[in-house]
Amino acid sequence: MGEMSSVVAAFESFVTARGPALLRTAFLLTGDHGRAEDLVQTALGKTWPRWESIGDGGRERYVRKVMVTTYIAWWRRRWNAEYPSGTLPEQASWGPNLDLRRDVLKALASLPKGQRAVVVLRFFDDLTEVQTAALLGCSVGTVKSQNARALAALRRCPELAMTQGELR
Amino acid sequence: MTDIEDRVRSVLRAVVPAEPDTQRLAAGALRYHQRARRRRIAGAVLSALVILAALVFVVGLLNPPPRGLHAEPMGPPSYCTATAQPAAPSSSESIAPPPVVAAWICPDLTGAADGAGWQLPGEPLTGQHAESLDAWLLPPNPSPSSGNPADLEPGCTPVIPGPAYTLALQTASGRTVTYRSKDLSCGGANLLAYFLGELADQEADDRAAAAPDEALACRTDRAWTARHQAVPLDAAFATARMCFAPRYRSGDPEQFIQPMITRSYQSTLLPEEALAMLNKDMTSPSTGTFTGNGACYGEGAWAYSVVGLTYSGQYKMLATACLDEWWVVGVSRKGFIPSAATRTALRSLVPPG
Repeated sequence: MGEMSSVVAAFESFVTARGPALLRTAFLLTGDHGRAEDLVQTALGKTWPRWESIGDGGRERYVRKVMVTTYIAWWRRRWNAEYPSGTLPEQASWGPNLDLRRDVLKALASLPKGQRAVVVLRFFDDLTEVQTAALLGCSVGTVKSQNARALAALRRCPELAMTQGELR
Repeated sequence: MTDIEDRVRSVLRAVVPAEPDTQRLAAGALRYHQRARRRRIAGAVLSALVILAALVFVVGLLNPPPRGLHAEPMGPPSYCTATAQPAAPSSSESIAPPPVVAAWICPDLTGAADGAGWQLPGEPLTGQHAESLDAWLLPPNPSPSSGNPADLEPGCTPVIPGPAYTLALQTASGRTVTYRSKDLSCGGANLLAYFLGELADQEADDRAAAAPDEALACRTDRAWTARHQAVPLDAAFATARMCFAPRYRSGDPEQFIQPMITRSYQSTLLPEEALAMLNKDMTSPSTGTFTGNGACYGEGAWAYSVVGLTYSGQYKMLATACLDEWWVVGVSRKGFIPSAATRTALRSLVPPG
């Protein structure tokens, strides 16, 4: 019993430490705070049965891999809690980045899931092409071609057409 | 590093939340794990039953019983007269014809696949219920791990084959495009599952629109939110009806396999005791109101909702796919976890699948 509670405590402390980073990646994949939370919860829930066997060093990589494959496999599933809302409470904290966020999320949402995952892993998580391919379970060539297609599509986003100094 | 890569990198960093809230993550993950475990066990039992049913079916084919009378097969509905040539989906992405205004399914007389795995619906989909059907026009993916992330899709669960069919989609311009089920993912099982679910929704929405007592009429959350404003979570029901919407999920390995036959919504007035328990959970400050999602994928043949009138005379709707969490329709991610006693009381009302 005591051993189990210490495993749960270690799990909770991992979530406290790495949860924000996982949520940020999930947010870029899903474009929504709630879905990001669900995605991370699901990835952590799928990882939990193997928590002890994975070991400290590989846990975050394992969770991220599960998170990305889960994201791709969430395939046109109707979201149980996705109901229209009259209020968007998170907007208040978006501040001056509201327009930027909206436009960029819209551009990301226009990408197929595979391309979106490649963009987030390459440019937000700073993974190399080889690391991205390993995480997605595909070839480096696939990552390159997905990346090229995604960037071609993102060039059409006005916010991304600006130079860095012009970013709002 | 190219210019666009630099800009993407900067912009992505600028748009992510600075300090996302992680308070509910660990508890939600453990809850997900428990639910997934229950689902796996139930799924294994149901898969065994499907395999058994398939064996019985095959044995029946090999040893047909003697028949005195041969029943004529049911003729196709009168709308099965589309002249368009069946077309196969051309890529892994959804094919997006102009807005679909009507859709119908007919027997594919050239198709070889046959079996008892599903029953073709006898009614067309129209209006908003047909709109999203084109999103299910996915081609078969023989290798879900083909290496191309864009091609990834869930594998097919073991579904007993059903009769081959054609799907006709009519667009706003009057054009009709027809597809063969054998050219669709999982032999058309996914699309048929969606079609049957929408058909049940369409029937319920049509009935609700004509119901004399609208507050207690079962319908989809889309139809409900089109007419009503959400009320707060803690507004108690004075009277309420529990509704059961048929669920059909065939292509997701994490889903139960449901019999794919036409089914209608079912409902029952909430008995006083169950209503009191639900009200108590919903209005109690210690209920465990939460905004996270325990990754509820559904737990059986039905999705659930409760419609009714509050004590202040407002219309209110709750919905869920799993009886251990409920959401207020019309409010983004506002839900509560009912007590075990309430879950048991509500579960006792669920009709057999």
